[in-house]
Amino acid sequence: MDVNQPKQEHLLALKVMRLTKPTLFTNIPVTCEERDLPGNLFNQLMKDDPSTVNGAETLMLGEMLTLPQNFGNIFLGETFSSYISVHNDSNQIVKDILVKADLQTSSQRLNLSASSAAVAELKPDCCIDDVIHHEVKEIGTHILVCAVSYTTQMGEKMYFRKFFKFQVLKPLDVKTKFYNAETDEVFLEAQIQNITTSPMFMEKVSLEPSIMYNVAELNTVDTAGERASTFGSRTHLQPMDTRQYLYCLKPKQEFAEKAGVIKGVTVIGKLDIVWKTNLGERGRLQTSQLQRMAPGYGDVRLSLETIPDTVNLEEPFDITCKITNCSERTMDLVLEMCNTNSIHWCGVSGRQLGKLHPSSSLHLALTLLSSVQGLQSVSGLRLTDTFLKRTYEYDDIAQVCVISSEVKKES
Amino acid sequence: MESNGSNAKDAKSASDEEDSGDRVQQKTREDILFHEETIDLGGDEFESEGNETISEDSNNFIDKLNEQMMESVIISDSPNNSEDDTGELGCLQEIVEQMEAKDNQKTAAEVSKEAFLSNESETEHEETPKDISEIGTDDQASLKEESIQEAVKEELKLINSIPVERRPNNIDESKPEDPISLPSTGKPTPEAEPIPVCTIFSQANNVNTQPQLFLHDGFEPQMVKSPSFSSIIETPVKSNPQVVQPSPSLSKFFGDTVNTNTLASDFFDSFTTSSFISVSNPNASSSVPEQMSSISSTGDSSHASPDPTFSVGNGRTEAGGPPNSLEISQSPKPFSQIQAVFAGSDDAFATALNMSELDRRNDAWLPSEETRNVLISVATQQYSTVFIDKDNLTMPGLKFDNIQGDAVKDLMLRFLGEQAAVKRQVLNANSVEQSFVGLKQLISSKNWRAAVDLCGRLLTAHGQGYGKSGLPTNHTTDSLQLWFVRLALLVKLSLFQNAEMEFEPFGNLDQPDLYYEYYPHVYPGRKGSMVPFSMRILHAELPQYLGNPQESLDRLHGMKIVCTKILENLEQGLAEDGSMTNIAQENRQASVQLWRSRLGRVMYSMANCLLMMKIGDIKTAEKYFQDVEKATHKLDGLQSQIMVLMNRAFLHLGQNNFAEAHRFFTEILRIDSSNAVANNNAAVCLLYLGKLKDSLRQLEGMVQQDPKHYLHESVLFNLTTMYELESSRSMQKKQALLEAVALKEGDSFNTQCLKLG
Repeated sequence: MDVNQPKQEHLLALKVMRLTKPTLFTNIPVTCEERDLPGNLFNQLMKDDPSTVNGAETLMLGEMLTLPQNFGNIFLGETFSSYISVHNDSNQIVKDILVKADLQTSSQRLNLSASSAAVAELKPDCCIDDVIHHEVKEIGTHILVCAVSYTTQMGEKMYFRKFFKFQVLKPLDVKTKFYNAETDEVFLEAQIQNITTSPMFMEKVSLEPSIMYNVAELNTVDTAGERASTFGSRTHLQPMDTRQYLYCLKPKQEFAEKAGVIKGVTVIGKLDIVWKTNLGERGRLQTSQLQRMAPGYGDVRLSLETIPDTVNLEEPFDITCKITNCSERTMDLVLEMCNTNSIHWCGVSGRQLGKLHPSSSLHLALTLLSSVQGLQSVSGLRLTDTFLKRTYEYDDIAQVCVISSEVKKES
Repeated sequence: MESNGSNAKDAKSASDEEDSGDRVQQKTREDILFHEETIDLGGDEFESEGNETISEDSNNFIDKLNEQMMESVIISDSPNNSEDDTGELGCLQEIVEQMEAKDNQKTAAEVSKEAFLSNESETEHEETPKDISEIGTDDQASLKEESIQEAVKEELKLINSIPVERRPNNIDESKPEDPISLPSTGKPTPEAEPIPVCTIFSQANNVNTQPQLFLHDGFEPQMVKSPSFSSIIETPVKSNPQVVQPSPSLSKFFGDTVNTNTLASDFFDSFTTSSFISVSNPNASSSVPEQMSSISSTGDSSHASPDPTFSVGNGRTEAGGPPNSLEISQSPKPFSQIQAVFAGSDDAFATALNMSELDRRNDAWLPSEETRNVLISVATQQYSTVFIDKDNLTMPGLKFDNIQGDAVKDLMLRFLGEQAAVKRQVLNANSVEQSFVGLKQLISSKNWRAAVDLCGRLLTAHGQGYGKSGLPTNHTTDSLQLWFVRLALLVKLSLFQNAEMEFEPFGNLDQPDLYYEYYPHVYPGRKGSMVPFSMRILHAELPQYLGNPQESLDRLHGMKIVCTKILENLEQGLAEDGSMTNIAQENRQASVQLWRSRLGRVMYSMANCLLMMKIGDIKTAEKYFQDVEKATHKLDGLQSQIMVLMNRAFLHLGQNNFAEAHRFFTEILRIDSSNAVANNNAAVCLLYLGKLKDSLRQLEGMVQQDPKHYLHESVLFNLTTMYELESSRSMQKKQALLEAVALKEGDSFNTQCLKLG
């Protein structure tokens, strides 16, 4: 092993620069007034500065673009762009130049070179340029490997490589929460946090529902025909700030009907997030499929189809229930109605509802009245499966507002 | 002055040397490592276990930790600055050796498990990730680490962090199998086992609590990934069953390095970038106390030592407040010599009336309630004592004496030799008249450092020199103007910390002694603020440059309120300060105009403050631009045409369409070939289109065309960046730029943009 082996002088030089978006040159506006000591000197200096905006010299941000000043951060979902330049530093013509750029991630190796054809010859002081782009899809260490092979004038085959390492960071933190509504609707709350160090403009945050659901975004408020974002006019998300998005998912009719109920773990969909940072640097990410555990309804589900909001005291009113067999077996059901302190059921208790097959349902019209004013809870329904001798209790099914009939007349 | 920066660099290069000195060892390590193909092993494991849905909670948390870690790491591009520590390296080697002994019988999963377990034991005494500076100083061992190994280790870590919940079982299985390999066998780590991956980050305890925290609010962390990546994560490709077999691709990758890259430190090359920081401040906070001795000499040469009245004043505060009106009338005297030089002093009686009108208008300000009470008591009790707490007085003094120096000349000395440097002649504080005239001369010739110095001298003459901070003093119109100029220039030079230091005694610019009413004998009948409005703006803007835009916004809001109130007063037929003074109609008009423009200035500053947060809202921008286009369509002048084209170009830039942006910038050049912005921006676009040579040609052409106008910091920065990208012999070209700069720029030139350092 020859440690002191002289470093080989190559005729070609390889330079790599990451092309983040250029930045706008900022100047520091310092102004004074006519009567101040420097007179109009400061203002004149600013006017003469080519980086200030004509007529708006006091504005810090000019229009002058400057090239990236350092490697910066790169985040998952952004595009990694890099300039690769191979320059002939020597005074001889170099032949058969092949430049290869590969990106090694933890799981794969990608070829990023635009062309794999060799360049026949490169004159002194000329260069071969390539701009590579790669949408970053993995977190962690990435290594850009640039290999250059060429032939010297003497016919000697030469080869060298350079390695550039960079880390890909995660830009967003996404947390979700589901709420199951009684009506089979699912509400999704998604918190998206900017965990980068610069503000982000959220261009798009949308939920792509799975085939079973339709989605309604609840992130805008309709005011006078105009849809205003619930986040106000501030469209950017500061570092470490979190935004909460809300979606309402409704199962599509065919799925709701077919399966009777949606059971177990279901795929809801995924969030698609597009953001922009400095000068329109774009990034896009998706969450994995969001899943939720559908609430268990037991073997028999009783849900309310219709119920009045307000009823009169001691006057009968009708409700419609839907009874669904969520189990795997056929049931033979008996309905019992138990009165509570305030709720009195009309009709016969212990009536046979007949056989109910798995995943099928039946509608039931019931009549009841309340003897107490105020908000009353509808309770006291009992279903017994005569096959298994199992009784299911349904209390607090819904609430109804009970008012005195005289009050109603007056109003 | 530059010593700070260069020291840091020295330290860095020293560490580089150490790296290369270590080359032999490293080479052997490389041999082993590359033979093992750890990266691909990881890949295998990733595929076999990467069942992505299962471990979201903990995975996410690891990512979070990763994030925090990485932030401290990513600051530098240098491959040596990694969070890895010596311990881990040792382990890795062990694994590698052991692997060889076992003749590659192990499965991929086991390999990474081992690595992982040993990490665990080692990280226990490793409290925090090392940052760059630590690596540089206290931990030489870590410097010896080779970047390649770091890379490999990081791959390992990455792998470890993916299939989280399976890990505990695997550990149990693997432990009996190969107990020799683990340095951690002596230290059982049961507490870390549930989700042991996290112990890489030495925060095992948090691991257990954190998921609960997440559950607490009912939110479930979600894994985010690039949309097009789904195929890799969601459907693990199992078509790659070979286990420890070195992948041909990687052996090609890394195996060869041993031959080609003899210098291990060369392994990771740095991207062609440079640490050009236009808002950085290399001189801040250094060079402050060093110059203390020189003050007295400057003070003596230009003026007599501070007036005796100041020592009386000093005694006054200690005594608790004898009549202050007495000394006040005397103290401004020593300054009168300088004052005489200043054109526009209010000495001519004929103009006195007119002047007082102007004065009132310009100096108007609304003091706070407290200050106003003090001022009223000064006015009403002229002949008795008014006790004012020392805390309520403004006692400024120079905080550093001399920031003079010509960085351009220093660079010339370094790169072009003494002969060239001698030719560089710029004005300095000694070469001009020691007066406002000289000061203006220095400012207009862009020798701001010298101008700051001259301000300091003039202030020293006024008794507010170095070390005078905290000593009672008196203010005059001129002393405050000098302070304003000095502070403004410091800000212009990006010496924000220095400016902040010297601003500090001024408080919030509302102390009673900063108002004319405080000096009824010196400025009889004059009212309002001695602090120029521009100085208030400067004061309000300063915090944003020091990373506190919120404070700036607060101060600007305060100013906005005062401006609005003054305008309100004027509209109600009152004087600016709300008093019942008769003002002629034309004067009122002039005053309204002045205060409107001042309000506008405050708004501009607020806009700048908000701009500190860069925004990428293309849609809104597009809307604004369209509005502007509509508005200017009728004007049809060349200027507006350029503006429209410029806006369109920027819109395309925002959409990543450099070709179109270039087209619009070029179109502007067809209308106005000397447009610096369009020229520069077109060149930048060319670079993004892969046309380095064309881009250089455009920039060079522009600079040659009119060096006086185009040798601007931003253009130079772009030019030097491209030189660096173009060839390894950029030095000569940069030096040529330095020569060009030397002919034109004063001592305030930001030499960082030449990237010669």
